[in-house]
Amino acid sequence: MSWIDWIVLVAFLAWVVWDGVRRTRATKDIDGYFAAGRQIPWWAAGLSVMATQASAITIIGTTGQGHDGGMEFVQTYFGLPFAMVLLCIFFVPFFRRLPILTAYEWLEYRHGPATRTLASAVFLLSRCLAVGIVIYAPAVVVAAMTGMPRDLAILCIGVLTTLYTMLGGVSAVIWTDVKQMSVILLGLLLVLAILLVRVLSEIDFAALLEIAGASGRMNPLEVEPAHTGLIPRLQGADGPPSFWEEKYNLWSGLFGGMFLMLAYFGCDQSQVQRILTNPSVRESRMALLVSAFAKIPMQLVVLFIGVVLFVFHVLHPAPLLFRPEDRAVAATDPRVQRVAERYETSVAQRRAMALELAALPDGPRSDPARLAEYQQHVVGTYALRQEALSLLYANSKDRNDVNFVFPHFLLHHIPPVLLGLIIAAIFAAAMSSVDSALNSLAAATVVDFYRRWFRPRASESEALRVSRISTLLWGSLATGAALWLGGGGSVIEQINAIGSFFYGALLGTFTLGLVCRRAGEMAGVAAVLGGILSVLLVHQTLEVEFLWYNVIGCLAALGCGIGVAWLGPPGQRWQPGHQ
Amino acid sequence: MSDERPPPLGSWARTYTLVILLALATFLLLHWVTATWQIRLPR
Repeated sequence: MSWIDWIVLVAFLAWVVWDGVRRTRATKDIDGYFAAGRQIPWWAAGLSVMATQASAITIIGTTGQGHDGGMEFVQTYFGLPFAMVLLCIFFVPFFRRLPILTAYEWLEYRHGPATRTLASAVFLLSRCLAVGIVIYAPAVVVAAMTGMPRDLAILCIGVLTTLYTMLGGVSAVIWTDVKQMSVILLGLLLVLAILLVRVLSEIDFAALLEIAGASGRMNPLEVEPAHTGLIPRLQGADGPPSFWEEKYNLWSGLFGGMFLMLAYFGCDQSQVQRILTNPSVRESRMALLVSAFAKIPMQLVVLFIGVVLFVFHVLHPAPLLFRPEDRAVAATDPRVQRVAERYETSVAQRRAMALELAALPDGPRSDPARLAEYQQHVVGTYALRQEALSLLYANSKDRNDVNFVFPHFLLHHIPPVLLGLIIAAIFAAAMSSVDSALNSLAAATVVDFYRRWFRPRASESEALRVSRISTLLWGSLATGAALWLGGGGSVIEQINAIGSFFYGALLGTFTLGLVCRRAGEMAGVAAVLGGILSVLLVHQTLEVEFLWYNVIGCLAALGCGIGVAWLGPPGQRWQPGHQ
Repeated sequence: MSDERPPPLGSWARTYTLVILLALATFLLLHWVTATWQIRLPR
C-alpha cells in the first residue's frame, strides 16, 4: 500500500469522525441522542439500515463466497422483501403509536415489565457478543492488507467509532452511515468495473458467463434441493443429510430467510432504532422499503464480483494460499511446496480447458467429455488448496481463507488512490455496523434498565450523561473483546451461532403481542424462554441449518405464549415504564 | 387478532404489491440465469 493510499484512508477516517462529532450539538436530551428528535428523513434512515446490515465481513467474506461457491448465498435474502412488507403493515404502526425509544418498551406496554426486561437482556447478550466480532474480523484482513499490527487495526476501528457514536448519538450514526454506505457502493462498483475490464480484455462477456457456469458459480437460484428427506437427522447420526441441513436453496431463503429478516429488522434494537428516528409512520415505512428494493441487487453485485474474480483467477493463475502469512510459512515447508507444484500444473490445465470450452460455438454443454474434464480440474484445484491449508492448520475451522481472496486481488491489481478508497470502504463497512450496535446497546441499557429500574426520575441531562458513558463502556468492551478474540478463530463461529438462538424467540414474542389478545406477562415470559429453549434443544439433538432456527424459535415462542395465555387469566395492559 | 388492529393499507397496497412483484420478477430472472448457465460440479 503506497503513501497516497494512506492519505486517502486517513482523510476518509478524519472526515467520518469529524462528521460524527459535529452532530453532538443536536443531542441535547435523550430523545435527541437515541431518536435524533424524530427528524431523520426516510432515505437517510434507509441507507443507514443497509449500512448497518453490511458489515465489512459481508463485503470481504461474500466476495470470497462468490469466488469459492458461486452466487447461491444471495438466496438467504429472498425472504427480505416479504419481511419488509409484513413489518410495514404489522410492526411499524405499533412501534410508532407510542413515544418509545427501544423496541422492548413496546413489550412492556403489551405484556409487562418482566417480558420487556427479559427481551432487552437477551438483545444485550446476543449483540454484545457479536459486536466484538464485527470489529475483529475486518481488522484481521485490514491488518494483512495494510501491514499495520492487528491490534492497532482493532483499536482504530473500535476507538474512532466509539468516539463519534458516544458524542453524536444516533444522529452521528445515521449521517456517518449515509457517507459510509456511499463509499461502500462506490468502492464495490469500482472493483467490479476494474475486474470486468481485466477479464473482458481476454474473453467476451458471454464466455465469462459460460466459464463461470461450467465452474458451478452461476447458481443464484436453486429450486430443487440437493437433499429431499424431510425427517431431520439426529446429531452425529449416519445416513444421508436431510432437507433441513442444506444451507442455500430457494425454500430455506424464502422461509428461513424471511423469519431471520423479520426478527432482525423487527426485533433487533440496532435496526428498530432507525425506524424510530423518522418524523412519521410513512417515512419509517419508506426507510424499510429501501432495503426491500435494494438489498438483493446489492448482494448480487457483491457475489458477482466474487464470480468474476474466480474467472480472473482461471485466466491468471491464482496463488495456492491467499493469506499472506500462510504463503510465508509455506515457502519453507517442503510438503506444501509439493502441493504447490501439483497446483501449478492443475491451474495451467484448467486455464487451457476453460478457453477451449469458451470457444465452443454451442456452449460447454455441447462437449460433455471436455466439460467433465474441466470440472475435474475445478474441483481438483480447490482440493489442492484445502490440502495445503490442512498441512498448515490442524483445526479445520482455521483452514478457511475465504476472507483473504478479495483482499489479495485488491492489493495486487488495484491502482493507487483507488486502493486507498476501497480499503476506506472496508473500514466504512466495519464502522457503520459497529456504531449502530453501540448506540442500540446504550439505548437498551439506559432506557430499559437504568431509567426503568434504577433511576426512573433521572433528569434529561443525567440520562444523557449516562447514555454517553454507556456508549463508551460498550465501545470499550467490544474493542476489548475484539483484542481478546485474537486467541482463536473457532471462537468466532461459536459466538456467531449463539446469536441465532435468540432471534426467533424475540420475533415470536412480538408476534404474540400482535395476534393474541389474552397474552399477558406470563405468556410473554413463557414465549421468550420457550423459544430460546426450543432452539437450544434442536441445536443439541438435530442436524438443522441455522436459518431454520429462526422459524423454530418463532413458532415455539408463539406456541408457548398462546398455550400459557389460554391456560391462565387474560393479561393486563401496562403503561410504558419510562414515561 | 389483538384488539390493536393494524391501520388499513390504503394507498400503501400499491407499493407493497410493487415490492412483491419486483421480488418475484427478480426470482424469475435469477432462475433463468441459473437454468441458462449453471452446470453443477460433480460432488
